[in-house]
Amino acid sequence: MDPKKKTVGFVPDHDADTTTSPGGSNNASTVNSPVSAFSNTPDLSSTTNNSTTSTPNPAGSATASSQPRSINASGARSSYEPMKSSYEEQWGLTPPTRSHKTASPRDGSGFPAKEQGGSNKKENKVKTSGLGIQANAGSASTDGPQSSNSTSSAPPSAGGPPSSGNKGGSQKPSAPSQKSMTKAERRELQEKQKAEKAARVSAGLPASGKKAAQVLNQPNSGFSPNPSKSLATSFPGAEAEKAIAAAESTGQARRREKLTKEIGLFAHLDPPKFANTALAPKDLHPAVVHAGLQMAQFKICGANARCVATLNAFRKAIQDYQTPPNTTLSRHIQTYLNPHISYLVTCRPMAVSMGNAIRYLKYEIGKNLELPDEDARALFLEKIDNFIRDRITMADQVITSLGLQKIQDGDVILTYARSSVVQGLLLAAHAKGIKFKVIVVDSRPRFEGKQLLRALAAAGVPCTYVLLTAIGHVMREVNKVILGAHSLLSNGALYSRAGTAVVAMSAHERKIPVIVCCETYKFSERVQLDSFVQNEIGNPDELVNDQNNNFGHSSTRCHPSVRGANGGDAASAAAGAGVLTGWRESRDLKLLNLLYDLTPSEFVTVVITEVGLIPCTSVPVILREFLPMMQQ
Amino acid sequence: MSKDFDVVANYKSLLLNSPELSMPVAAIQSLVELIKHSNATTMSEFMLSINVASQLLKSSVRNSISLSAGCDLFLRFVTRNSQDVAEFEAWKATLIVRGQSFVEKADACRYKIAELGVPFIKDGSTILIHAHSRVVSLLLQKAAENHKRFKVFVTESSQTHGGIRSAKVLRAAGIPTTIILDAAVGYVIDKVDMVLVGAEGVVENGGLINQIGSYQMAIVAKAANKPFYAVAESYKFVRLFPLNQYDLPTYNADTLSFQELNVDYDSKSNETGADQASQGSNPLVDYTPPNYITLLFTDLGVLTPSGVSDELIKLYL
Repeated sequence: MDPKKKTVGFVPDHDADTTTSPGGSNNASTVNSPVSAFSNTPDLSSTTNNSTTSTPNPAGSATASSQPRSINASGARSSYEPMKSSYEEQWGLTPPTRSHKTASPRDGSGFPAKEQGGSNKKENKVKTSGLGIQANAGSASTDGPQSSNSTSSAPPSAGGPPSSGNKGGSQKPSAPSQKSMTKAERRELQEKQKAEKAARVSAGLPASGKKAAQVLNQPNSGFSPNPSKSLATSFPGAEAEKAIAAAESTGQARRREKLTKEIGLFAHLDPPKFANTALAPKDLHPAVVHAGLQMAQFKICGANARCVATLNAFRKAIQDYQTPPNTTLSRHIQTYLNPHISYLVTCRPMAVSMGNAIRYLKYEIGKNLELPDEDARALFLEKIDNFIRDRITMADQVITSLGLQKIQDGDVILTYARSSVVQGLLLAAHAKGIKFKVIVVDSRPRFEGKQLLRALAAAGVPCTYVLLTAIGHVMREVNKVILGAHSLLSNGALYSRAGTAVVAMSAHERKIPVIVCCETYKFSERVQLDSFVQNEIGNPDELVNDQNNNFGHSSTRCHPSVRGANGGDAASAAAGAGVLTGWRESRDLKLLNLLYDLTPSEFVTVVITEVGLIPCTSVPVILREFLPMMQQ
Repeated sequence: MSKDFDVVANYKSLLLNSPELSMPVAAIQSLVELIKHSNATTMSEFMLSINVASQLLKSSVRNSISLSAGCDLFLRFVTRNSQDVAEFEAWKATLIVRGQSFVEKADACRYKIAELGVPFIKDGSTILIHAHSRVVSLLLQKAAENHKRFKVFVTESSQTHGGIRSAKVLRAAGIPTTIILDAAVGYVIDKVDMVLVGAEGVVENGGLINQIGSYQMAIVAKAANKPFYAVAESYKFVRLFPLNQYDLPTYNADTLSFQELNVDYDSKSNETGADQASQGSNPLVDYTPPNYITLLFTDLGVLTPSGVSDELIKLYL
């Protein structure tokens, strides 16, 4: 991390972080995690115990109730492992308790016989179609029944009046045989996993302590499925693969259920996704799998980076591709790539940039069906390289040079979060010797602006760092707002990181020009009038606390496992800010972590593209006039 | 290179000899003259000479916006056709022919605009215009010829006194015209049915660069909910995208600098504020953002501001 520069107005540091965000320091989260696990678990176990006196899973309930106590007695250090396992046990517990839980509110709320009759299958269907999450159910077929369970298992949320009928569907008796089987399996696997993890912890990092362990994304993150997953990404070996498979088949699915505590207005959107190699077809190219995992964990983030990562992965896949007998490369390659593409979609909803790049690739493939294999391969590789060069790399250079014309001495430029193009532009302007100041506006939960701030401060650009809440205050000093874009839509609307609209609107209010930097390959044919129709839901646990948003470790910050409910619970409980701690158990509480928002075109003054400065209402003209030209 | 040919002098004499000629057309005409006199033998030498000449032209006048629109358009035309050059001399000849036909057509532009604009003028209406614009005057004359009855307020525009010139032209055409002070725009706006202004240049977002005072008229018109129409030939479309008033190429450190205020008015009692303004401290043009403009009457048709950017993208991509 960079030292505090003299030029920096606000100190871009941990301190700033902690002061701006409520809650304690990073250390607190790790040290106190067991405590919170303790404080949290009884919560759940008690509620479950109330209803589950006759649980068919005695082992689970026993561990759940006993574990926390042991933690309490043993203290922080030894509670390390127990904490984790107790957490697992919680999850292990859930299936049996779930049924009882669902049963009890139902009895209480007086929705009687109706659900008894409902068969599991049917109810599921109703549920999914009602919420419009077919895509999800379809993509993870094994999770189908479970996900419906989940909605019902969060009895508070679904437990309300009308959907109680659905809940009946999650009843075990009517469940198909596969389900009960998997449950048995699950428990078994879990035990195995636990043992594995214990071994790992004792072998790997006992001395290094929690901090080191956390940095490494190691098991103490307290999440049973994730440690193995992160392991898998770091050492993509057979062992890790096994661990993944185990984790995926057990914990992953259940974790997902819990996470899809969806909000009615956004039920049509995909629930937050998690990298899942277990569900991926076996014959995927490792480069694509790797890229997908990185995107799912937000290690690759940002429209440009994701697009380049995708294209490079596809490039490798095409390079290593072996044409099966009785077909030609150009005819078969698309069938070969399709599962890769759908795998990427299961990792994280496709970015517009990726979609456009893939469409271009498919277009090129479709155009050259008659080429001999090696020629076709060479051509496609070249096309991919050219796309990255022309539409992204060169485009960014042109945008930078055009943008430089709009930055003058004495400017105070406000920017929001981080865009690679904006960062490049600001650094180029500084390198050119223009004297200007930058106000970096940032927001929870992702704090992407810190990355930009670090780059600017390192270059010696005078910076100020504020959170979005201070926008009204700083806006009076600003004379230009420069923003990045995820996509520009055909009606001129700007689709970008959540919070952009607020920034653009408050700038418009003060008649401050809003400059958007966007390559033309991010332009979309889509039209969208609000942020609801299409958006992406992030992991709601990111909102629970932001203790893990340490400045230095973007991986830990972004890693869903680290930021999982357990870690969050731990830290917030430790800090005494346990408001959101048990949010999944709270009946009326749902969290929404939207990743994008929509800025209407009237709030954008100019869009800087590689074809020049255009008003954002000219997006369709570019799509119509310019893109066909590029495809030739 | 054609050292013997002075583009700037040619341009100035063109403007002097025919006051009806607008700046971009004159610029193109003198560039065509340059080509005629050019004895360049290679393509690159030729292109260089044209580029240098257009730079000279742009720097020769203080307010280069409409001039640069003409130069850029012609240069664009030259470069666009430079790929398929078979024979250099023949190509030069075609350029000259095309350039001349462009100049001829430029005149027809105004008549077309007048034709398009006349239906917008209602019988019995009152129109507010700003300073002097040939194309606006022509439009109003055409309307009067079509037996429309309307009255005109024209701002004096103290810098150039263009309003007085406009009033003369319009009165000659039998249109009742009143000259008002520039400061009286807000006073008369309630009596006005529409505002009509010309343009030095139309920028990429459909905004307007015009003689100083247009912007405040647009603001007043917007506040009073009166339509604000701009009248511009399409050769005035210019590839600029100003973010605000101070983002224009005409803006420099001297514009409205405060040192000028130290000049004692009394000591130069024979000089008016307008004279001082023309000496550098005061801006000659301002920029009207597109959201203040109702419609633009151009020879390409009646466009919304965003339509202008569509046309420009088509032209320059």
